[in-house]
Amino acid sequence: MASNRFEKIGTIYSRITGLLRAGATKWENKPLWYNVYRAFPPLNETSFGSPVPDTPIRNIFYAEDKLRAKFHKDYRMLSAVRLDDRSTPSECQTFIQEYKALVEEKGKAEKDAYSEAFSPFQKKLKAEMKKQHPPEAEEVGFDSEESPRSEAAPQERLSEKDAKELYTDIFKK
Amino acid sequence: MNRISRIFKSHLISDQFTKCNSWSRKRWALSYSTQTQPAEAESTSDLIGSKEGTKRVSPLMHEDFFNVHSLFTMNDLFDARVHYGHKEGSLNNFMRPYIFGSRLEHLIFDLDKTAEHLRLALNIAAHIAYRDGIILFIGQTPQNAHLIEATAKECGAYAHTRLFQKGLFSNSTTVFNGITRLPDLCIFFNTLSTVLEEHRGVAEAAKMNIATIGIVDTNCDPRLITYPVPGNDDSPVSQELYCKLFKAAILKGQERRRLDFRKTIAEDPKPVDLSE
Repeated sequence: MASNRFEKIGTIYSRITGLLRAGATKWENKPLWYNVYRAFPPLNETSFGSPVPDTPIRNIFYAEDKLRAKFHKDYRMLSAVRLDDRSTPSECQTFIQEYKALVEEKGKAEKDAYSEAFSPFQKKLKAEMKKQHPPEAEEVGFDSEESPRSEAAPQERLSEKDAKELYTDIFKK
Repeated sequence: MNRISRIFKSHLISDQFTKCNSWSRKRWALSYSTQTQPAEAESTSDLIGSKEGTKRVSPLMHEDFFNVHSLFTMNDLFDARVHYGHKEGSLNNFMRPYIFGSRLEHLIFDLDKTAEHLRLALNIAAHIAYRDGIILFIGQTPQNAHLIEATAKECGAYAHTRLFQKGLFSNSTTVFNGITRLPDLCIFFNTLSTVLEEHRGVAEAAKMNIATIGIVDTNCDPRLITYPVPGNDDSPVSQELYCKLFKAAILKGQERRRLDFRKTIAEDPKPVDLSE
């Protein structure tokens, strides 16, 4: 059976059609997919040489994105999220729901609504901070001379004169 | 056989068949919306394979003969994370028409378009199975290899999920030590062999004039794929969905074939004129 192997010229359909039309391939020897293709051609037929589409790619943004950004800036604690669990909303989602309810249903000003909706998260944040940085216990152990601080490389210090000059410069500006 | 060809001839006279027989590349399929569920196929007695004397319709005349549209819904695609693409930097420009937008530099597929392409691809797979074509599942991701092979086994298809040897299609006589029947349809579950390289099978199938269906992600080239399906090809969930769907479509085609013909299907009528 005659055929060609130029996969970069035309499509499989156009190549086979050419062979059939020229009589190089008999109708009985056509590929099995041929009539299926004719009945259901691809939605957009492309070949190797087809021009590059210049469809622009738009950005997907939502109105509440600003709110989300502010929430994450203020609440720097990300809890784990299960992507396949749709029943429990994430912390950010609950916050936005709360905020929307306050603004739209109770008619609150945006600033007040934000602080009110954020207050439970503020509490969580404080509790977490306490957990991570408990109030310092009394220091015991090191003598002042043996303490590692004293052994550390001495910091470069400005001489008194230089410091004075620097400060005066700053204040002049 | 005689009976069937006679029936085909009788249909040649009818208006609809002559229209599509005149080689006009008019689209007379899949005109339904992707969102709604189109009407069910007519009762089986109206379709091919029924008793002699009743009206017969060629499966190709029906826009969705195997009822593949009902295999999935838009929600299934969403749940299987089909809409997730790669980051903007790895975008192949030929994928632009299928993309809904970019969310903070991550590309998101337009699932309306994906659904339309996927339904067409499923329909093609069912039709090829109905015609007793050889269907080959191809994918070169190790994590999905077993899934693809098992699915192929379950629906009587073939699978190739390892390194694709050069010349496997184009030089098959030498590779297999004998004249080989090549597949009639290749279904690529992944069209890349490495992160940057295209799977060798894509070009080889195009060379050997084999129709291909391929899941193309935002970093893939859809040009040589006959029926590209834009969608996420990395997530295990999405791969499972594609496997499930293609298996169901192929089984539908095979089942119909078993009902309609014992051994062979009717010869396709040769069109009258061969001008495009």
